[in-house]
Amino acid sequence: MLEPSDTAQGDVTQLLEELRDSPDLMDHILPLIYDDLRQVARCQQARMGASPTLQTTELVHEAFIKLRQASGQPIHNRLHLKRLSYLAIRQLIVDHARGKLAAKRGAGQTPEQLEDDLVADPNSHDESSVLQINEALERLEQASPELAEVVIARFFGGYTADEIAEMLDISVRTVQRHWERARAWMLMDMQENG
Amino acid sequence: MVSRAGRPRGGRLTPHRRRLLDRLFDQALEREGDARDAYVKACRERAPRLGFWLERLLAAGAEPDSVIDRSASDMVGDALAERTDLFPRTLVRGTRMGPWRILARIGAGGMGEVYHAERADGAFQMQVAIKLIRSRRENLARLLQSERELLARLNHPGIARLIDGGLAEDDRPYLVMEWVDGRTLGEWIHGSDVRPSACLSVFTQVCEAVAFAHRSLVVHGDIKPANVAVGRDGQAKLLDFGVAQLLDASTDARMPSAMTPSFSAPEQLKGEPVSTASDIFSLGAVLRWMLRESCGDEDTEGGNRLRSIWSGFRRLNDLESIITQATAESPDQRYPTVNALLQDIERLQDDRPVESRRTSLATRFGFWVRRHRMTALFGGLGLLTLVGGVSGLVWQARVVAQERDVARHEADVTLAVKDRLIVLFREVSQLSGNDELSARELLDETAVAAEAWLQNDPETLLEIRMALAEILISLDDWASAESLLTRSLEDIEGPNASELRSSPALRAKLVHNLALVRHRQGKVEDGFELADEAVRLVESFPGDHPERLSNSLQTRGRLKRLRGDWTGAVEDLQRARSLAQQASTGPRPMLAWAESNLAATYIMGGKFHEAVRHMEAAEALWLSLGRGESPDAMSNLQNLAVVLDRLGRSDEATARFQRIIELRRERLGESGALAAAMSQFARLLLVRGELDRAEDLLVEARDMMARFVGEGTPDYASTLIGYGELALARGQPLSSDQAFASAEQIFVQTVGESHPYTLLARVGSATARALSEDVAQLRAVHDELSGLIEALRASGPVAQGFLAQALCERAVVGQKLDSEGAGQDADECLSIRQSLSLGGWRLHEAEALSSLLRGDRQGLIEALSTLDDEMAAEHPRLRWLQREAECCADQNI
Repeated sequence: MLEPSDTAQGDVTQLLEELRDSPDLMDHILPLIYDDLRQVARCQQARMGASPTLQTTELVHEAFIKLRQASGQPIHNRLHLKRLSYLAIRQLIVDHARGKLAAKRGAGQTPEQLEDDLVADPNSHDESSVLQINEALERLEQASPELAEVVIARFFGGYTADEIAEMLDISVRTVQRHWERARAWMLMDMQENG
Repeated sequence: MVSRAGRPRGGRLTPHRRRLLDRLFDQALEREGDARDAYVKACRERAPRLGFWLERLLAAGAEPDSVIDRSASDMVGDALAERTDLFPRTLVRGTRMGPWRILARIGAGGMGEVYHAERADGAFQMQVAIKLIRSRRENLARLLQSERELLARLNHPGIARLIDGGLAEDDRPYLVMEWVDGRTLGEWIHGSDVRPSACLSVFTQVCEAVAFAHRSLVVHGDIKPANVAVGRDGQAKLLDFGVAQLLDASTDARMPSAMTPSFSAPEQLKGEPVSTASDIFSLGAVLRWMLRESCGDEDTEGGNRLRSIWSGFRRLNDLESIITQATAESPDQRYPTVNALLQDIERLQDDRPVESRRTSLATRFGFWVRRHRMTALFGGLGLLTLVGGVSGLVWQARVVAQERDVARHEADVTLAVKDRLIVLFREVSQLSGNDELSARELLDETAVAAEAWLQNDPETLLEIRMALAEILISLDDWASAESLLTRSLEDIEGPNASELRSSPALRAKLVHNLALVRHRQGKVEDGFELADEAVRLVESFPGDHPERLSNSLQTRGRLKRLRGDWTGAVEDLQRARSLAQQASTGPRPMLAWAESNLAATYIMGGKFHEAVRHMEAAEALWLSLGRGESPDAMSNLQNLAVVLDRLGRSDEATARFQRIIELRRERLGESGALAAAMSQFARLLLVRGELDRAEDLLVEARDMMARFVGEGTPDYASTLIGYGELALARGQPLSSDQAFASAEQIFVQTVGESHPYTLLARVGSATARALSEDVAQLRAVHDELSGLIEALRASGPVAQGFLAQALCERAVVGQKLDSEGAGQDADECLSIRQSLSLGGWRLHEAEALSSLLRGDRQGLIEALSTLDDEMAAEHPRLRWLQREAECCADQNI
């Protein structure tokens, strides 16, 4: 069983850079999935309890595939794209959370008084916890990018250990270990900086 | 177990310490239970600070359930929804947007919502599609405004026309497009009677529309099945034409849905601006889509199923290879133009071998060509014609040989250029081996070859490009000419300019040709500036250059005319003409153009005799040059026919009309110009009593006009005027009135209430109603005509002809009502028509009326006998005049 090699690490860093370098990447893919998104959103409205969220994530990742496919990148980089997509999703969610929080504060109301258009899932996160997690994640990224990636994939992307293992080309066991470590680091971090 | 007493502080976690800690943590995790505790203890003893952190870490990790364990991915939905404004405000039925009323929403996509709407004021029936654009980009509204006119001129049956545009209440721009009653391609392909031939036919229609637009330098940018509608009549129409390029490159709106295979070219997805090459990619993608359906999964190459309609199609391989070329990765590898693609499709349908597998010469020899420099491919023309075109250069050499030193130097260059060009043509032909090259292919390949072979001779390269551009212009391919010219201009003005001993003469030619292109594109101000510069440049040359100056003056003259400077235009054009004569003897296109231009200007000024003189001269010249069938010659011919008719030279006019209709149909196919010619001819025919023939022409013209130019346009309305006159000639006042009234409605909407055309339509209506014998009705018509006459007077010299008509009609009504001023009206009508040099029935009708009202029996009889020859015996006007003459005779006895 191999530890993530230097090349894998390089990959991750490269991916992150790529994302940073194209801030409007999101703007490029959004229209690609606009129509399908409305479908999903309608489903979400219709079946409140069910969680087609993975569908949304899948959509985003699909969009990346189409994007890359069309630009001629070979198919075996699909996983690469999957990775890129959850990195992008992270950005999306964090931006969204920041925006909402700012809006709530700006409106002078306490968070509980505002309702979403879609019924809020009682199990879902609120914006400030997401932001807190993100901050901790940023610090983790500095120190151990490969650990951070597992967190991103799982927390933002909603992927399972098996899926993450396939994407990062490591064993499931390694994923679990990374997760354990990352989780501990982050929790401690959040306690420290809470 | 963590011991709390006397625990040392951990200190800062530096990166180094972190790495160490990491390793320790790792080790700790490898151990379980007691072993782990022991390990931790050992760490704390040996490295207290690290140990402290280790404990903390382990404690944190031991926490059973925390926020971090639940995925936040469910927030993606919200985030995306927010970001894409998922539930925008929808417009409801009945909402007004400008003159339109919303009926229903029919769709929503990445770009915005689409609504079905209709004309709100009920002026005439019209259904449209209104697209509300989602982007709030600021300059979009402005952009739309300026580009709309260009797009509105895309008149082609395969293009859903852009009719109108504006800003909705919330400042979102909206576009109004032609309503297409039919299905999208996506729905159509599942129809029961769809066969390969039908698919190819629809595809061909789409390609033709795209090719048409590309010639006018407009690209689509978002060709996909959802953007193609197939009407009930089987006509395919492209929707959203040119709208894509209105939106900024960085905007999201251009992109397709991810769930369908991408129809966008790779460079488009990267954010580069749309181009003809990306349209070609999309066309190829559509063809591929027609062939296969995607299975919904992530498609791998070739993983999609062939649609059942294609099973048994014999030439699948060839079709595939066409698709492959069209959708090549790099734009350079694709078909250079839509026409090239069309030709291959045609070859497929005709059972001939396709070309797509043949690599272009450029590729074969590894020449690198940048995408946007590629010239366009047209239909095939004989090589001989091309040589004829090149003979212009030969002539130049002749002219120039008579001039001074400077000129002589230029002559050498020009001769050299001509020779080079011919050498190039020969080389390229030989390189093509056994493949027969059409003239246009030759041009294209030569342009490519020239770039490479003349790399070290930028001056000659420039001359070659210029020569090619001029040939392209004469072939009416403005798009290709423009790209050659702008590149040449870049080279002349660019950083390496000093290396090019570019003569001012070259620059003058360049600037002049660009002015021609701008003129063609409708960019009048730009064109004028360029033309002006060209004239000034040539005027500054030492010595006389009558031919060049004439050329530049003609272009500037035409642009002046477009700017409304009629006097300035005539000045320039007259000067141009005399200069052209000054240049050496022998037939030359220059002079023919000069004559045509001058003539057109005279027509606009109402000086028909002068106009005819020049047009006949032009006609003779074109014929002697063997270019009697060129587009310029055709326009000349058409104008000549109309003016000859005005002058009463009816037989000559008839001959010309017949010829022009035949020529246009044969050479250029159906078009708005052909429809106009047919409609004008019809109006001549019905005066001569050939009503059925006239009706046939009008029916066809009206349909063609509707398809190419659109209903609700002044050109279409003019065919309705023809209908009105036809009905008048048949003595059908109701139909006549209706036709004129419909025309009037359209004119009111397009050119305004007080425009002469609108007034003309009203005169027509009134004339129709004047066929009645009812006195009250006649009085009403009389009053109406009076109002119209006043309005026409106020319209100035341009409306003189219409004024005369109105006066004539009022005279007729006046006679029926036995009123005082009738005689004056007839006299005035006569004098106007005389001053306009109108002849034939128009003149003699006025003469007859005038004589009748003055009681001049002799005059009346004379006029009537002439009129008898010119008008059909059953023509209502003639019959009425004859009846009146009999009464008059009776009275006199």
